[in-house]
Amino acid sequence: MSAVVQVTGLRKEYRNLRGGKTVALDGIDFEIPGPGVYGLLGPNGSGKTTTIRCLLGLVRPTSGHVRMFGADQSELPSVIHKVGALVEGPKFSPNMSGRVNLELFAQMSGLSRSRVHEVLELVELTERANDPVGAYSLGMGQRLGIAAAMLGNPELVILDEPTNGLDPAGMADVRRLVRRLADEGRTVLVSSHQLHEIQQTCDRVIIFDAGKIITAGSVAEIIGSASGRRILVSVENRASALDILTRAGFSAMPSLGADQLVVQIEDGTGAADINRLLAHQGVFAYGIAADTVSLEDAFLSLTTKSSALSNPNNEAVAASSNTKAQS
Amino acid sequence: MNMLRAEIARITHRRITKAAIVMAVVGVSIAGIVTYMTHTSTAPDIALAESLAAQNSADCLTSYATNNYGLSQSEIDQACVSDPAWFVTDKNFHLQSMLSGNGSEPFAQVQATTAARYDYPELGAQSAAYGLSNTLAGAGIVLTLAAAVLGASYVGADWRSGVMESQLVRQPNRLKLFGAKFIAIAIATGLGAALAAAATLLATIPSAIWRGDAANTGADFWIAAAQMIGRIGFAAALFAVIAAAVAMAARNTAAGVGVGLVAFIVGGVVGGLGGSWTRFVDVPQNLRAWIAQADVGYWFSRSTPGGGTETWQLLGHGWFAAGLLIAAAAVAVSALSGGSFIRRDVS
Repeated sequence: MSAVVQVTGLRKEYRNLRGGKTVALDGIDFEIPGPGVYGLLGPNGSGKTTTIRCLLGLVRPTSGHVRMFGADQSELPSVIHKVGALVEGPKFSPNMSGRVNLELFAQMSGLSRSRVHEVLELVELTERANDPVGAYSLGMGQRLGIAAAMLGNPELVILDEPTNGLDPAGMADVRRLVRRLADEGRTVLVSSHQLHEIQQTCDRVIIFDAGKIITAGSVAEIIGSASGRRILVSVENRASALDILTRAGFSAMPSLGADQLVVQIEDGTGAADINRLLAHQGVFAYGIAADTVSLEDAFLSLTTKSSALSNPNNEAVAASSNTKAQS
Repeated sequence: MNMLRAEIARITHRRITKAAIVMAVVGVSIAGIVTYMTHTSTAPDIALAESLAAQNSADCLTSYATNNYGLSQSEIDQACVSDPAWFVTDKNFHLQSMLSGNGSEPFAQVQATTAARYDYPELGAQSAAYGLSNTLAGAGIVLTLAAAVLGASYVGADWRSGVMESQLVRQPNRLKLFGAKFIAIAIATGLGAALAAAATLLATIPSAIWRGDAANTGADFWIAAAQMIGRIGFAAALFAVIAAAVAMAARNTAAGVGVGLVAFIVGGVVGGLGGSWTRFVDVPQNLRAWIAQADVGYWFSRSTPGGGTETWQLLGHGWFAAGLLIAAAAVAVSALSGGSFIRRDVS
């Protein structure tokens, strides 16, 4: 059985009038095998939305392939009924009511009006359904956008920043809805800046930076790998320890605790190496532990590291862009 | 078919469509009322006619006072009778003149006047300028321009609100979406303009019944009227498609309206410059010719042996060719716009 989404060597360049070009996606690969909630994370301009636009046929890739349900971009019309999407916020006719907007979308897809009623109930907008969309709050518009995405009862739901503009209660509603959709056996692809939301909702995460995928895996794996990279060192003479570690080439910084340092460690380096180095210089650590990190810490650590590495002479990032979400 | 139905439904739900319907109803009603109110001779008109008749009679008698040419007084009195009716402006509304000429003159009179006014044997009485005076043709031009504004607005609003992107997410086959949108625009604007033109004709019927006459309005009249209404609808659909195609390529309403307006004005100006080719870009003249079944002419000048210049308006092409020209322009602009829509990224 084919993967729900399969992206191979996807590259997108935008050319400007002066002949210059901007690389929005730099040869990314990933695969979404089946039901579950998948998160696309990355700073602004990292390529998340461009990826979604390529998936939906809104943007033509410069090179590479996109497949959904086994169909490539030219066959997209044959599988689009299995896909529901909300891309960069809700987009409706502001002078028409929410209900009319949905009815028109339903009509173009050959869906019944009863389905409109169902999705309005799903996002709890029935009472305001006859108001013009222009009078909706940001959150209501966002819910209407999710309702529109759900019209065709899709197997794959793509939600680009679905919690934008929502209050905490609204965010919790979307989180529950997304989990429910996954529990019903659907595949949900969520792009978000709300790292807290992603951490609570997604099964697996793909992290983008500067048009590349820098890592992918389950939330636990990503946090785990980032935790493994940072250790918390407790010493009495913090200033000396900081100086010793910095001179030795470690990225270290004072932590919130009075005697603590957070030290970034590279592959092949461990807590023992840090301890040995400090002891050799006469500074003794009374505690060394893996730093507890959130997805946000992991994300910042990964994207900062990626930015530092993303110069033309470094091949490390290019290698990490060949990653599978299910790996 | 679902797509087409949805697009037509979207057009009918738009606020600008509802505003256009209200404006058309108000405009047609005002035209009907004004026609009814103005087509009657008032007391001052009659008083003026009586005074002119009396003056005419007096002048006549004065002229015979110096030389009676051997006529008897009774013969002179008879010769100098002046009927006030001759001096009352004909304000009766003749329904047939809706198709054939100025709304306050009988058909034959208009034909004679026009033939005298535009005495160009090559062009004949049915010139484009003559067509412009037709009430229904005039209404048709206004409706066609309104249809172009609506066409551009329908497409521009979809880009502005992001609805176009929402639709493409549901229908990645862009050719299908483009086709449905443009067919819907052509149907809606064509039907709308035809209905408004028919309403304009119907609004003048009270004037014809109570302030004029409906003579010579048999089957031929109604067939000719229906044909003209059909041509107005067709022209409106084509102009709406052209404006929508420009708005689609530029992804906004202003471009569609602006380019259309510039083409209309510049085409008219170029058409007036002379040269047989200019008639092909003279948008207003071709539109008038198509609606009023008139001919498209062009100005021809030559120097005379005496050092002067003679200028004639010559027959360029007929009304059907004018319609074909507009249709060809609509097809060409739509093809370019469709090609751009299918290929360009939506980002």
